[in-house]
Amino acid sequence: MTMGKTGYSLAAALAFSAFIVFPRLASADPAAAEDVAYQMATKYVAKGFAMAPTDNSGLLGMGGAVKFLIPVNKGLDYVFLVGSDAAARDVDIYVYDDVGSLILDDRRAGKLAGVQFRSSYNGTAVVYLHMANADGLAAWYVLVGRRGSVKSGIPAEAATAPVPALEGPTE
Amino acid sequence: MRLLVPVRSLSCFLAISAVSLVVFASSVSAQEKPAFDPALAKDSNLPLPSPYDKLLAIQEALGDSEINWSTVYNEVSVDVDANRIDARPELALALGVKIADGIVSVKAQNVEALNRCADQIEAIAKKLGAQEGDLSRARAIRENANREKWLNVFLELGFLQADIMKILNEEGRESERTLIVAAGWMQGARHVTFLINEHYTEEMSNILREPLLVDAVQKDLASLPSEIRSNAKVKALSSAFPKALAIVDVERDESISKADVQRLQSIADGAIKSLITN
Repeated sequence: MTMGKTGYSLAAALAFSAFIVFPRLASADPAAAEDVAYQMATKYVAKGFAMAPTDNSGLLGMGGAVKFLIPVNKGLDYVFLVGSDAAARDVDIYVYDDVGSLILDDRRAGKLAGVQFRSSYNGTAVVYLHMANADGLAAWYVLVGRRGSVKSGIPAEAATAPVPALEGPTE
Repeated sequence: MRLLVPVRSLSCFLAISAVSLVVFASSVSAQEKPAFDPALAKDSNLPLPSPYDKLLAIQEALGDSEINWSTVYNEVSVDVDANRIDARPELALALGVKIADGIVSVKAQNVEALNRCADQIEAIAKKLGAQEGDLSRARAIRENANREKWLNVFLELGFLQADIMKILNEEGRESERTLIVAAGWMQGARHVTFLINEHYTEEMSNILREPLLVDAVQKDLASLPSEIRSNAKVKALSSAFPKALAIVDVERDESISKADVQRLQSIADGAIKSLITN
């Protein structure tokens, strides 16, 4: 028995529909998230930031969130970056001060996220990573960088913003 | 058998449905993200111990020429011989201390001191279960130090610490992680108070402010299993945290008196000396 042209069209349409309707199976890849984070970090090292992992990494499904305590000091510029694997679709960051006021967020659509801010106080920043969208469980890896602001010559208002053009290791 | 709906029409219908689903899905993801509720976020591990930020803030306040970082390192750092430590909680405490010292050796850009720290960190990590392959970053640390690429050294040192912590996390030894963070914070406090006491100003004293983190470390120590809490060195370190918290729990921009900075230094000195004394 042979399948006619119409039969092929039907099979293709069914396959395409199944691809769209059913969630794609993705397995979280922590090593990939770490590699992405490392590549992101090297770019900020070149900009004079002392970058280091916070030893915070893990897996999150869509809608999951994690809270971090990040020590900060007044007058220093900070960058907070999240690397993720292929299963992550949209990662957001929210940064609050230690009395619960929002300093800034990065809610742009994308699998990588990053914010830069100049701390106006000594103490702790409370940072939330929100996995706004993911295919199943996605792996993430967090890095924090700090840099003195005196030599940077960057005014305070320009030092607090979502990180521009965050495109990860394939940039 | 004759189909009620012609096959060609059915395939067209499915294709259009599929395209519609794609358009719908992308418009949802672009416009309506799932609501974010901070109250539902899981608490992460406490960050690795690092006095780096405070040292950088002091440097910003004083200027580069005022601080001899190698002097700070030499005055405050301690050597740890992993061969003379057997109890795992005590190895974890020693590792925290050496991580803090390692960060100051990077600030001092002192290759010899950094290599000494790296050797001691590796030796302790191996006794805690790390294999040679887990410590591959140590080589990158030394290579970057020899090339005086200090920000790269800091990065690799951070990843080495994270690799070591990963081993502890994998094996369900979160208690040891808590001890590393606590001991690292206390040794960092020794470095920072040493410098602030040398150059005290009211404004600079506020660099020590850290109520949230110190309270969290204190709570983690209090929730350790009783067999770990009963270790004499763990007990000594744990008892220092409420005293430290009382000093660093100040309002934003509120100064900490010179007497209190000296008291914090003395508290931290006592706690660390009790950790390294056999």
